[in-house]
Amino acid sequence: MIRFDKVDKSFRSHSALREVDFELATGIVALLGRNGAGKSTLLSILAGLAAESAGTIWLDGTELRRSRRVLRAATTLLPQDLRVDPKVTGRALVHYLLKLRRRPFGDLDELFALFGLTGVCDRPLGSLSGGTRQRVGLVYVFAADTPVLLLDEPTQGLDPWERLRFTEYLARVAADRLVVYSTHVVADVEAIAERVLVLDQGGLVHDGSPQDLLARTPPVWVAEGDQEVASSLGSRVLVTAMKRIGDDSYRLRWLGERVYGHARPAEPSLSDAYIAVTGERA
Amino acid sequence: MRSFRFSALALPVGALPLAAGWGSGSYGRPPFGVGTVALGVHWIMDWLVPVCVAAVLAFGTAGTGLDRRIAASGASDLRILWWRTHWTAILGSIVACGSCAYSLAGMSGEPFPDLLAPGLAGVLFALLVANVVVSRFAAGPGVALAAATSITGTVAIGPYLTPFTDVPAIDPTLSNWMRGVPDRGSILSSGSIAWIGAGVIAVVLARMCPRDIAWLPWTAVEDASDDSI
Repeated sequence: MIRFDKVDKSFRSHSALREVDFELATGIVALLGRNGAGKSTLLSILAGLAAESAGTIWLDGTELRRSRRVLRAATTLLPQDLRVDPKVTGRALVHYLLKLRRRPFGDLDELFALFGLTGVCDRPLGSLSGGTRQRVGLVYVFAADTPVLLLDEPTQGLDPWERLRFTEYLARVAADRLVVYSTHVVADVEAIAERVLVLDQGGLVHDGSPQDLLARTPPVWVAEGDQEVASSLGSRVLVTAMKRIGDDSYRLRWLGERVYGHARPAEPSLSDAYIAVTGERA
Repeated sequence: MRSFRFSALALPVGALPLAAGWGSGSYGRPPFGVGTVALGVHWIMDWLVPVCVAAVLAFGTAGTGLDRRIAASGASDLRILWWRTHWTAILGSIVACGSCAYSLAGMSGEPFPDLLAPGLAGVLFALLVANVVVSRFAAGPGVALAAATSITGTVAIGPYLTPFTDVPAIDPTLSNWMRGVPDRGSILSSGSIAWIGAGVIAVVLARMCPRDIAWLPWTAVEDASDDSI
């Protein structure tokens, strides 16, 4: 559906994306990376809002030239911080956006109900919580019904129930379309993503299934120790978790070698794997 | 969608003392046979009104409206969308220009069409400038205000201040008077047509070059700003 061939993106002297290669078909693709890794830049290019500095982009087998009108028509982006008019109601916003994009309205009431917005979709957006506004954005994205949906941290501000509703619906709609969403919530990736792209400093450092990412994890170790042990480990290995379990007692989890005699092996998690591939940058 | 910065309406308030002074005939040295009030109301319609419209539209519409990342994915181009999104402010400017010309004509005894035609031409030019500054270059409110008022001011005022050259002026009557000639010019001048034509060409060029908004630098920077890249 969409193919990136050695795509670079630079802002003046700063390189935001470096030789990014991938091909995306239908399904759910999670985009992971630290702040500044280039996730939003990548989504902007996928949405046809930003142009690459070098490389080639293909949509349905056709190389995209200067115009991105076709790409914009095929995609719907939900930005991370959707800026809305606080005086406009959720229903009016969704209607306006669909009209702007010349998309059919479909059964909006069903979507509002699905996302628990039936009682609030006629209230001004300024009076709604951040999570509720985010759900209005999700209604717009799903109502737009384009072949490609791009979601920038869509679960931000959603409570666990809302998140569950979202992931259930996402799994349903992804059967015949491409959904790319960036997130910092590794639990979301484990729950629904079929494929994970990990960006680090503008480069693509992983492209595969969550299981492939897990397989790349170095040995994981867990041990308990005092403050001295914790400090010592922190300076020698990549600690992925530290929990205080008592007075001057900590449980630590790290990647790599068994540098502490009392350590025992542990099952790697996707969070461990993500930290491992994105390195040790501070 | 609400999309206008209403504080922009405060900008013309700063021009009111000037308008009141000109309107009361306190300034200007007209040629023999032309009243100072007549000269003043032409100044108001030919200079102040277009510059005020440029200021209000440029400052009022810069960076407002729908989230650009969503708007840019619309079927309509952002630069065309500006006209649709801000039609109430645009219509308001035209109505204000008409009512200003009507009241000044009643006050000064000048023919209404003689005040309306150059005023409307100046306002139309100001709208075209505001469109290019805001929607093509995506300037912030302050920069948009400065750029739009400078360009509109240069075109609206410049020709009258250079009476010994052939720079086309929007109002031939005022142009004559500024050169000490008491004759009236035609209502529809070649200057109006030339400047509005230049404005339309600028709008069309802004739409066509570059042809795709993905290549506009502001879009890329703004869209990625939440991620520090």
